[in-house]
Amino acid sequence: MNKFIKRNYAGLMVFSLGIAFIAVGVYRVEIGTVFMKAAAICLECIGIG
Amino acid sequence: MELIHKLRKNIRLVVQICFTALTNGYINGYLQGTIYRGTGKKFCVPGLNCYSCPGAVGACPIGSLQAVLNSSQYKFSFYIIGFLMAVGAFFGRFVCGWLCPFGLVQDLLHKIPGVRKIRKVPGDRYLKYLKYVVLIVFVIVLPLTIVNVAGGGTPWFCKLICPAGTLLGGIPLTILNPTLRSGLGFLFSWKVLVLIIIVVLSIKIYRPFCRYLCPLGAAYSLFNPIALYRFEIDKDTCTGCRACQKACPMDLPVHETPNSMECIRCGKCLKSCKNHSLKSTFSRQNAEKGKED
Amino acid sequence: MKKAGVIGIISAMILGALGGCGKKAQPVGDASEAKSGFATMETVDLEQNEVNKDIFKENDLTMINTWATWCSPCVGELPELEEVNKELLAEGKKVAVKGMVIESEGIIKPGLSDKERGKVEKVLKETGVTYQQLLVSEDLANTVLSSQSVFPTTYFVDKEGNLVGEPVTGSRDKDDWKKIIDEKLGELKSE
Repeated sequence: MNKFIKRNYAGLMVFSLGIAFIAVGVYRVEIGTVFMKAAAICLECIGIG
Repeated sequence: MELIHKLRKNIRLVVQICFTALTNGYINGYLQGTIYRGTGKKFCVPGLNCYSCPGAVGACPIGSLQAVLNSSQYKFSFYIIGFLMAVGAFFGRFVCGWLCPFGLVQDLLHKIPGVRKIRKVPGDRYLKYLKYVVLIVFVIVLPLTIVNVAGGGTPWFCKLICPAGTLLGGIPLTILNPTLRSGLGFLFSWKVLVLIIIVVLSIKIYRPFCRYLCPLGAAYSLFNPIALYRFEIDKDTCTGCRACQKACPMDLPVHETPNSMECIRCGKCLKSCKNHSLKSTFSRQNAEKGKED
Repeated sequence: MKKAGVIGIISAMILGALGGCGKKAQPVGDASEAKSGFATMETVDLEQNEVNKDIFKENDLTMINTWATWCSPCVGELPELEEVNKELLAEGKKVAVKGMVIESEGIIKPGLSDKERGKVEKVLKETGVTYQQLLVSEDLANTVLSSQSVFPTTYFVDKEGNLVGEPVTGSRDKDDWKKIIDEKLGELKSE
C-alpha cells in the first residue's frame, strides 16, 4: 500500500486536488451554468447561426 | 468461446463502442430530433462528446469549460478543471484511446483500406504543439475576452472548430429537426468543411485531430507522465529492439519515453514487447511487484 | 480475474446503452395545446403588469422572440429586433415585436429571481430595447415552451394568440426578419 502511494505520489496529489476543485466548483454553483448550456441547444455551439 | 476470444483480442474497440453507446444512448433524441435535458447533463463525460448530440446523456468537458468561462459570473471553472485534473491524473490519455467517441470515429476511418497510409507525418514535431494553442486561445482566452453587452462570451472552439459537434450534433439535428434548417448559413458550411478535411486526413493519417488539434487531448496529455494508469520500462531487461516503436501507429519511441504526451494508450506496444520489459502500471506483473513489500 | 472484470464491464455498458432507450421523453405538449398556448396564457411582463392574449388584439401579427441573457446570439439580435419593431410601427404594418425572457437554469421555469432580473434589465438598457418583455408563467412552461430546447426561438401569433406556422429558430439580422415577417403575413392571409 505504501509502495503504491510512493510510486504514484504525483498522480494521487493531482487527483485529490482535482476532487477538491470539483467540490469548490459545486459550492460556487457552476453546475447550474453547465446544465443551462448542456440542456438547451445553443445554436452557435453546433455551427448553426 | 470463439466470440469471447474475438472480444478479448479487440477489447479496446469493444470498450470504445460500448462506452460511446452508453454515453449517447438517449434514443428519444434521435426519434424526436431533440436533445436529452435531464439530470445527466449536469455531469461531464470524459471524452469529446458534444452535448448537442441527440443521444448525449452528459455534458462535454470542453463545451462546459467554455460555458462557465463565458458566463459573466466566473473567470475560472473549478468544476471543470477539477474534473479534467481528476480524470487526467487517473487515466491520462487512456480516455483518448478508449473512451472518446470522436477517437472511435477516427479509428474506424483509419481502418478504411485502399488508401496509402502516412505513418511519419511531415512537420509532426511542430504540429503537435498546435493543440495547446487551440486549448489556450479558443477554449480559454477568446471566451474570456470577447464578451457581449451582458458580459457573456461565445464558445469559440465549438463555434468554429469542433468536428465532433458537427458530426455528432449539428448534422443529426439538422437532418432530424426541420425547424432548425432555416438557420443554416455560412458558419455551417465552414464547420462541415472543417469536418470533411479532418475525415479525409483521418483515413490517411492515424488520429490527426487527436494529435494536432484536440484541446481535450492537450489537457489530458499534461497528465500522461504522472497518471495512475501509465507505462513503465524495466531498463534491465529492455534490449532496445524497438519493437514497441515499430508497433506504435504514431511511431513514438516508447522505449525512450513510455509516457509521451502524444501517447493515447492504444496498447499495441505492450503486446509487441517480447521480453516483457514494457508494462502498464495496472498489469499483473506490476501488481505482484507491488505486493512484494 | 481480469477476464471476469472485462466481461463485467462490457455487460454493464450494454445494459446501460439499453437503459438509455428507456429514458422518459420530455413531455411534449400535444399539438392542440401547443397551438393555443399563447391564446390561453396568463402571465406578467417585466413591469409586473398582468398579461393575457389581449395584448395581441391590436395587431394582425405578433412576433414573440424568446431569449436569454446567457445566449450570445440572442443578445446579439436584440438591437436588430428593436429596429424592426420601430420600422414596423413607422410603416403602420400592424405587426409588433415582443420579447419573452427565459433565464431558466436548463429547465424552463416561471418568473425571474432578483439576480436574473438585474441581468435582464442591464441587457435591455445596453441594447436599447424598449418593446414589451413577457415573463414565463406556469401554463406557458407546460404548453408552448415545454418542448423548446433551442435558443433563440421566435413564435408568430395572430390576433387571437394562435400560432401562425412554425416557429423560427436562430438569430437573424434586420433584413432577414423583415422578409420572414412578410412571409408570415402571407401565411396569415391564406389561412
